[in-house]
Formats: sequence, C-alpha cells, structure tokens
Amino acid sequence: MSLHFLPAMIISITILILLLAIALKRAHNLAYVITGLGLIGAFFSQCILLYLPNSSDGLFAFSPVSSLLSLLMLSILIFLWLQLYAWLAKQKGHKEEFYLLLLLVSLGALGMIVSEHFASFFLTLELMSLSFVGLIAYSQDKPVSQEAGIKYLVLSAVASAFILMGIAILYLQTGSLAFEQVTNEVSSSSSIPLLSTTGIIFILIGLFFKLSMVPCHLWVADIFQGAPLPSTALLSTISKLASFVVLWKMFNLGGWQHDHIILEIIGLVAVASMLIGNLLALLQNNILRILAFSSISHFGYLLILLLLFNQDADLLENAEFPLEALIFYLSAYLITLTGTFTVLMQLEGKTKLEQLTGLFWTRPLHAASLSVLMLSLAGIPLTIGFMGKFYLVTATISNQVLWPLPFLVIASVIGLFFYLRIIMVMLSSINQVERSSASTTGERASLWFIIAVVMGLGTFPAFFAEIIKHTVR
Amino acid sequence: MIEAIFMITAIVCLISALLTVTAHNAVHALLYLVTMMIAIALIFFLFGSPFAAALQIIVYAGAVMVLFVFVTMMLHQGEKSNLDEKALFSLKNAKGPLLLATILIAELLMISVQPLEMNSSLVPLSAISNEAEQDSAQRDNTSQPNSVKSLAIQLYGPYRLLVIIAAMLLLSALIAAIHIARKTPKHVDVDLSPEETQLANKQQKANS
Repeated sequence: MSLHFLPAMIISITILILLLAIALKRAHNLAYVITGLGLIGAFFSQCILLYLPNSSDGLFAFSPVSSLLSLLMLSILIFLWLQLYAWLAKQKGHKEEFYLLLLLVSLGALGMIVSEHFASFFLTLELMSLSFVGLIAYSQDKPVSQEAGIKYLVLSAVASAFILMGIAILYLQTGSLAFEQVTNEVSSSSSIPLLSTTGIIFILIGLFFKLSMVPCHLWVADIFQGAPLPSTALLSTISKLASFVVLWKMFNLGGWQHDHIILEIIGLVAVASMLIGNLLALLQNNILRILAFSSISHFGYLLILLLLFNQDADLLENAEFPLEALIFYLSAYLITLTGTFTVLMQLEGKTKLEQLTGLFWTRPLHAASLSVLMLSLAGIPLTIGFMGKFYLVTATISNQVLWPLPFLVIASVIGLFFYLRIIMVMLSSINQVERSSASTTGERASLWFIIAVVMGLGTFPAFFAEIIKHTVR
Repeated sequence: MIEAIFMITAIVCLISALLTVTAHNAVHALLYLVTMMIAIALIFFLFGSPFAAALQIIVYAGAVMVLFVFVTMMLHQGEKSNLDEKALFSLKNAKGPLLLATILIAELLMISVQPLEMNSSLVPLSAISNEAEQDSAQRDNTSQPNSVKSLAIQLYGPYRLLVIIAAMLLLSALIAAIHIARKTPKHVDVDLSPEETQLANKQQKANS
C-alpha cells in the first residue's frame, strides 16, 4: 500500500481508537484530545506527501493538487476542531459521538478528493453524507435540527439516486467505472453520444444537489439554519469542497467540455446561481440564511472557471491558470467562511440580525473580525476574497469567455448590499448599555489569527499564490 | 421467449414499484416492495448472475421483511394493535402482490422447464468486465465471469479499500442512528403536549 494513504489511515485508526475510548470511558476531554491528535497527525503526514509525484491504484489517484486540497481541508478541520470544545461543552447530552462523526466526515471527504473511480467516489460520497445526517440532527433537544436532518437525508438520497443513475448510464455506454477510461471512451468518438451526455447530466444534477446550485437549492437555507453551528460550518466547507473537487476532476479529465449541451447547462446554472443566490439573500434576517444563499452564489462564480478548461484561446498562454484561479478562489472562500463560523460559534448562537445589533459596542473584536470577513465575502480590496475574485476575473478575461462577466458584476453589486447590511446592523447604536462578557485569551487569539490571515493574504497574496503555482505545475 | 419473459418481469417490477409508492398502508407497501425485489432478482437471474439474484432475495426480500416485522412488533403492543394486525391481513389486500408474485413464479417455472439450449442464448454479460476480472477468470479457468469466486477475488483484491470504506459507512450510519434514536433526557418529557400525555395515560391503563 502506497504512502499516499497515510493521512486517511491515520484518521481511520483515530476513529477506531476513539470508538474504543468511548466504549471504555466517556470523557469529553479525552475524545477532544484524541480527535485533535488524529487530525494534526493527518495534517503533517499530508504536508510531507505534498510534492510526491502522481500515483494511482485504479481506485484513488494522488497528485500534488489533490494533496494541496486535502491539506486545505485538514487545516479547516483543525481550525474548527479548536473551536469545537467550548461549543460542545455548552450542549446537553452525549458529546463524544460528534467527534466520531466529524472524523468519519473527514475520512469521506479525504477519499472523495482523491477518488478516481465511480465506485470509490460513490462510497466516499455516501460515507460523508450519512455522517452529515448524524451531525445535522445531532442536538436532541431541538426539533428544528431533527427536521433539518431529515431534509438533508431526503436531499442526499435524491442526489445519490441521480448520481447512481448517471453512473449506470455511463457504464452501459463505456463498460468501465474508472474516470479516466470513461472520459477516454467518451472523448475518443468525434461527437459524444446522446446517452453519455444524459449520464453526465444526471451526475451533474446529483453534484449540483450536493453543492446546492440554483435549480437544486431547495431547503438549503433551512438546513443551514436548523443544524447545530459546527455542523453547518462543516457542511458549508468540507462537503462543498469535496463535491466541487469531484466536479472539477470530471471536467478536467476528458472532452466533456466540448459538448455544447453540457457547456450550456453549466453556464446557465452558473448565472442562475449567482443572481438568484444573491437575490434570495437580500432580505433575509438570519445570518445563517444569508450565508447559505451567499454560498450558492459563490459556487456560481466558481462554476464559470469550469467553462475555461481546455479552451483554445488563452491570452496569458498559461494553460494552468484557470486551475490556479480555481484553487485560489476556493481556498479564499473557504478560509473566509471558516472564520465566519468561528466568530458565530463564539457568539453563542446569536445568528439573528437583531441579536447582532450594536455588536461593535458590546464585543468590539468579534464585530471587527466579522466585518472583515463580510468584506472578504463581498470582495472588497485588501481582503483575501478580493484576490480570489481578481484571479477569477483575470482567468475569465484571458480565456476570452466574456459573457458571464456582466452577470458576475451585477451579482456582486447585489451581494454588497446584504454584506454591508450586516456591518451596518453591528454599527448601529443600542439603547441599553449591556456590558459584554469578556472574551477568553483563546477566543481573542483565534479572532486575531482570522483577521491576520484574511487581511494578510489579501494584502500580500504572492506567498500563497506561489505555493499554488508550484503545486499546479 | 427470453425477451418476452424479461419484458413481463420488468413490467411486474414497475407496477409493484409504483404501487409501493402509492400504497397508504405501510404493510401493504412492504408487500409490493418485496414483490418488486423478487422481480429484480428474476431479472438478475435472466442476465445470468444467479448469485446476485440470491443476494437480492436474501438481503432485500429477507432482511427487510424481518426488520420490518421486528419494528412493528416492538412499536405495537396491546390488544388494540393485535386487532389492527388482524385487519391488516385480508385476502382483499393481499390480492395484488399475490397476483404479481404468481406471475413471477410462473415465469420461473417456464424457464426451468424448457431445455437448456434455449437458456444458453441469454446467459452471461461477460463483455462488461474489467481487465483484472478477466485475468483472474482466466487464471482459475472458470468459464463463468460472475461466479462467487471471482466476485470474492475482486472484493479482496483490487477493491479491498472499498470494503473498508463500506465498513466505515455502516459504522457511521450505526453511530448516527444510535445517537439520534437515543431516548431524550428526562427534562424534555416534562413539557409533553396535552394530547401526548393523554395518550400515554391511556396506554398505561391499557397495560395495567
């Protein structure tokens, strides 16, 4: 077995150890420490594996790009893990299972990022989705969260059914389940047969459900609002990262993107997601609902990049530039989102806009970091979100795919309204002066860290961009 | 001949699937579901993979049924539910699934009765199998590419990681199910809605 499986092995072993530990003695501290050790171990082993050459065993394929994405995912997981203890300590009931499900989710997502075969892709996808059902319905005393769990279960069952149907059609057409063979078969013929296109569209619909792109965005806001905060954070970062990576991988492999039907579908979904996502978020009163809809529009922006792969016209004469832009935008968005959920977790579930009124006067540091994060989501200069959008627009222009850009600008302007509205609400003065509870040192440190990363990478992106460039080549 | 049998089986499968979704009573839906599973098993059999057909019957028709009976037994207690269960099984309700199942049995008999040469035309779908499978099939000289042996060699050879992932999948489902289904702590029981408390009182009286 190759060295590349080390991070996933470490996480699997951690799951088993944690299971044993829970069976022997239930202790929140112990579960927290074991999970952390496992995640950090996986992170460092992934660091070592970063620049190993490509390798594949038929089911899973490893490349520096997939290693970088796994690294991004593990660092998000570690950051969320740091916030988890304080949040879970306030919950009732058993807390240890949350860590187990968290590890299972990360195992599924790790597998999904490197999957190279429809069987491994589907099994890891199911591993991730089923664990998410547990995570979303975790709070037993809140009926809302149970409802969100059932909604997620239904959505993921529908998505799985679509994906399975698509896989079956592709198998019928090509006689293979490996991504590479399927795409070779499909692209070797001069024009893609209609049946393969149908199969691909089925798989795309399933992945759109996972990413909650616009025609498939039903219930996503309810799930975001109903689930416990850490689960929402995981759902909006880990699950979407893994699904998008699979989408990109399928696009990158063969000649699918020369099929004009698929290109039109992707283009339409991208534009619809950008506009409708932002319009739906416009008048929401809950910050979680706003984040749910804004994530729809952000993945709409990202879909534009998929249109650029294997385009012939390229002004920069740099075929890898769309991929660099994709990784940069994805990391920028996910880092910002992780920061936002960290702040929200520290605010103890104050997610309604009225509850955030005058936050600058009660908890200035939280309010400041939340404002920076909102500016980053909106794409204001000096934040990492701006650099992501800059990359995206540069890549789009250099590939001369100009038609999505007006929609991008309109959607961003609409988006600016509700991001700034959150900041305005936090700035407005309050009547009764309530003294804030002082933040702990750990909270302050993590908040400063978030501000430093978001502003630092936004001001000096060269360091991060160099890493991505080096990996992609 | 075989095509006709396949078409009839597929139609039976579709009809019972539709009736599963539209049935109002859970037990009736289950009867149609089992009929559908058996029809799918027959289709597998027609495609020349008897092992998959057997698995389909054992796992779905068998295990799902047993689980469901367990659940109904645990959920319903007392005389009232006994009466309910008596009302559930009437010949009128069982007519549909019985009819469909009879068609399937008739088909199976028809396949078994006719001479072997007729059946050989339909058997294996060996064209769709990857290289490793063909290699192993050649090595142990089995003429059947989807025998139990080659399946096992596949599962514990090139696909062994998937077995591990499937195990993890079951583990995660188990953990999530146990956590969600755990009885809620005492303090929640206090604020039951009035109807629920009445219901609980009635049940207590019925039990005592």
